[in-house]
Amino acid sequence: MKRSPRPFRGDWVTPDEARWGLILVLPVMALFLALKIAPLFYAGYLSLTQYSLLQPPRFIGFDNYVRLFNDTRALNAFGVTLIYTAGTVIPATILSLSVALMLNSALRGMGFFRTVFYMPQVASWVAIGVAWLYIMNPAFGPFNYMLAQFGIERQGFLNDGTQALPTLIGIGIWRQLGYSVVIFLAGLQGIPKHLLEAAMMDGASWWRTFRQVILPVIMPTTMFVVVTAVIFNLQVFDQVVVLTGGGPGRATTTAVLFSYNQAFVSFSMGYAAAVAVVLFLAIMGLSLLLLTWSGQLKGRR
Amino acid sequence: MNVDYSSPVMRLTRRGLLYLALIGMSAIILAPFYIVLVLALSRSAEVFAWPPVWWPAVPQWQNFLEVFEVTAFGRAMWNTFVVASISTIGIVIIDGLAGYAFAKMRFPGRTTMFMLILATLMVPVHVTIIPLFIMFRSFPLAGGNDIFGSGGFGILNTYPSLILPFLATAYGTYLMREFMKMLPDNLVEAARMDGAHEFAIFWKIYLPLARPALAVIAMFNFTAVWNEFLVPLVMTSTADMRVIQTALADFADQETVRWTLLMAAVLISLIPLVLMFIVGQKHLIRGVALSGTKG
Repeated sequence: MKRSPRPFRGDWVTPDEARWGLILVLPVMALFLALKIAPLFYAGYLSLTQYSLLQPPRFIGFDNYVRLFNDTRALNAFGVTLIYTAGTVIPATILSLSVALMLNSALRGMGFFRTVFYMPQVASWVAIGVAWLYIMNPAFGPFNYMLAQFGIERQGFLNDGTQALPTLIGIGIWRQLGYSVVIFLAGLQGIPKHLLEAAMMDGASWWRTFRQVILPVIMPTTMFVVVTAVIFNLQVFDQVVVLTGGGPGRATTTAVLFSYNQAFVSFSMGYAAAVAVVLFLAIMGLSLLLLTWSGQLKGRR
Repeated sequence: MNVDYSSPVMRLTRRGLLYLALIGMSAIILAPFYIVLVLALSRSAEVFAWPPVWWPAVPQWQNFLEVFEVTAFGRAMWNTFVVASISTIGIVIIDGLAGYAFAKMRFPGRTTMFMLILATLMVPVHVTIIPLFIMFRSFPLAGGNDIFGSGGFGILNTYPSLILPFLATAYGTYLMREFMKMLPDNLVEAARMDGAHEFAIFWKIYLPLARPALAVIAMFNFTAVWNEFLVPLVMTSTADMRVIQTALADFADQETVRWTLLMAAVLISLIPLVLMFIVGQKHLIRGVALSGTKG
């Protein structure tokens, strides 16, 4: 039999291939349309209405958005969210890069330590939350006992209006580490060994080696870690519900928690949707900003 | 960093300090897990001991049984298991099909459709949860609803309301397509020349080859559903529909927290994930190794 020299990546497609291709992607497309794309547009529509579930949604234009930007509780929730995100992502990224660099040069036991650092990621926020709830308890928590050994008096931590958010941030950093360490370790594999050896032979200082050999290679990894961490942390919710319930007062009420309360406690579906949409746009905007900024950094190099 | 021209003493000290720092940080990471274990085995009185106890005087193993006696935690575990399993099976099938089609087949609108799916990576759950709640609530002809979806509660507080929100995950589709792309094309070509049916090519040749990637997707999804809090919190309302995470939060919500039982429940909820994580690490490495040899 004579084989035709037709290459696989040709232009023509058999009707069978086209038909079956469409059939195979049909389930996934139907699910995405019904469960992601339609709800997204529905959220946009809801945010322009007043809707309490009892009566049909009433169109009110941009009133919910006007209300949002005049509502100190909403603005406070967005502020808390931003502080939490910056306070968690920046230290966690620096710390996890240091840990990854240490692990990368430790040679022995790297797998073990990587597993240990990843453990908090395997557990749910609720499971981790209740453990920290006990540790930080003002009355009998072990953390206050530890402080007492250094002569520091009892602190309120999560029950204290000024300490609650920093405590949440500390716990957030503790959990974020594992994820970032694992990604950084993968990124560090990309550094050519001969470059490091050359730097050593030249007697370059540790800092210079880091700045000029390691950092340029792992810059994309760093950006990936930062952008994904920003996206995740701006949606902070589970840990707040478990650890503080948004209190004391409104000290730890984040944007998603505010939206949740508006929707399922006050039944203001429209306003809750507006808050969610604004957060969604903030997440998109911030990610794009970070990506453009990192692109410019790369261009300058 | 393998090459080090400094003196052996310097190198040893540096190495010692390095390990000291790593062990110190590991202790901080593991401390909460240790405390969960200690409390899960403690008597109620030991919870409030000052100074805190390092290890319970007599480990209270019956705490693990009591969890199931005083609360409906068994029911919550069963619910979680059902929801996580069904959604995982669903995702593996759907993403297997779509990943293969997007990677190996040519059909009209392929790129557009894939880009559309990829774009939904940017859509967080918190935006879709309110619309999904309303959509599920007005699901026609279910939960006392009429054909126009009003009058009842639709599919809220049912398994479908807990499973459906997880079925559209762009991440799985993307990962599957990337993996399928790494598999050689000539298998399709050869099979087509032999007159094999398009579906048979997928089912008999490519699906078995993609098993490592499917295992990774299954693992990620199972963990994600097992640990999900917001979706069950919104979608369910009665005690018999609680999942592990909402049941745990209930424990902590009460005025008098039963710490020993709560921590025993936490520990029970962690066991399947930790076991899967240990097994999964191997799978991950195998998946990478396979793509390495084929690539």
